[in-house]
Amino acid sequence: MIVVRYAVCSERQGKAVTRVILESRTEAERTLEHLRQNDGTTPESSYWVAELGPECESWRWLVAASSSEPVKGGAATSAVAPTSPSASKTSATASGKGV
Amino acid sequence: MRPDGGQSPAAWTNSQSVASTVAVSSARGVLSARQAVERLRELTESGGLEALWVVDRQSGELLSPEARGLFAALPAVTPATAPEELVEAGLLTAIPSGLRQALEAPRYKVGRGVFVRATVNYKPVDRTRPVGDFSSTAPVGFTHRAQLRAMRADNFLVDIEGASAPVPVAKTDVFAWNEPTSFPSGTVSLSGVQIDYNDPHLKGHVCAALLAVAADIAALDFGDAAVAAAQARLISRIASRVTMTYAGRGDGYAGSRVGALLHGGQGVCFVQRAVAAALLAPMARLLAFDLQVAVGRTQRLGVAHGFLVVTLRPSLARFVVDPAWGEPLTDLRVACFGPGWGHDRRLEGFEGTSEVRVPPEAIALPEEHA
Repeated sequence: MIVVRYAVCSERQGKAVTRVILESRTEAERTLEHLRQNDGTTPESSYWVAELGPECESWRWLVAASSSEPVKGGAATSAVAPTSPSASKTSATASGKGV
Repeated sequence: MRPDGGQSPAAWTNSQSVASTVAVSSARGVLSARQAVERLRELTESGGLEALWVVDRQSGELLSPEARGLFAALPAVTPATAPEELVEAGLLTAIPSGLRQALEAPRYKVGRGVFVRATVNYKPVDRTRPVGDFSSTAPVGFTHRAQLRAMRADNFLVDIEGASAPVPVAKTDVFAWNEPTSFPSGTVSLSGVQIDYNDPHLKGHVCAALLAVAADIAALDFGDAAVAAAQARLISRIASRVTMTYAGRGDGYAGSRVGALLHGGQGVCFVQRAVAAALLAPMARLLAFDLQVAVGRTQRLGVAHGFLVVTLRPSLARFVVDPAWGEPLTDLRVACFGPGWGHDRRLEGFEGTSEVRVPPEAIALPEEHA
């Protein structure tokens, strides 16, 4: 398997998540230890590093979503490439007072 | 035709007649599509199917010659396949009673829960109160806690929990955020997972899933008040057929071929929910539900999380399908309740495309004037 990214993952109560995606195993293992220590009083039950191959580009979504950039929130008529999330569109009024 | 029985945009014209006879060579000789369905039924009932799913870990290729021949001969069932074609193919004995009426019933009506974007609060107040309520000082985000109330010109008026008055939201936005994800013709890629309904391996999984629930599908009656519970049970059973491990937690296939991933493969949440979408989408017209491919985030850790949203017709009850978290079907209100309940997810957007042209007969809301 050709590895293109390393996912630092953790699990708690059967809910596994990817915490961060990195380009090197060394960096991923260092980050894993950092997370394990910094999760402090609410540690996850397990931590591991997963290898992600080129066939499956889900890591692009994880990177995009983890960057706090909005994914497709408004423009539903056009597909959004994982590497270039579109800007979200807000239509609801912010006041909540209605009209 | 779209699952709702409306006009047929290009996205839903991927129909390959399941009644067509496809003759191929297999370990058992030459099978027609109908014969392949019968052989699959035998294997399903005898428990002999399990051995046929085994794949090469690297390539995802089926190892069993019988599996390759059998699955290749099966009919292709796509999101565009009509329920009547499934009966013709021998995959079903009967179509649920009242299915057409269920699909044609208005789906934008008073009290329907919808996703909208507004200023909403995601900071939990305590463990007994759900997050996602309106707050004028909170950041803008999606909330699931909104209900349709009326319409005014180009807007829907929406009641958002916590708001003192209805909030106007553009109809086109409501459609964009609540219409099902489209599965275009040809091979579709969701989070890198390649979905091709003509792929023998995926044909095997879709047909096996249909055969496993065929008797219960035939017994569905959309005139029955309890039909929503029966729909939910069936969708849960189908979604439970996705048996994957999280990336790095198993030794199964980890590539992009959906058929090889579905049974024993491994992948992150985005991958697992793409696989579940591939299996569920061909059932949407038959079981009367809409499917949305969601992109979200956990609240406790703030990390990305992918899942599916299912909306039943005609009840419009909403659920989350989240195979990576071992949740084949969870009530949406529970699934997005808050970080303290173990159901820790919030919606941030959708992957793929959705249809925003909704026919007028799908809307049954009173007009309110300013």
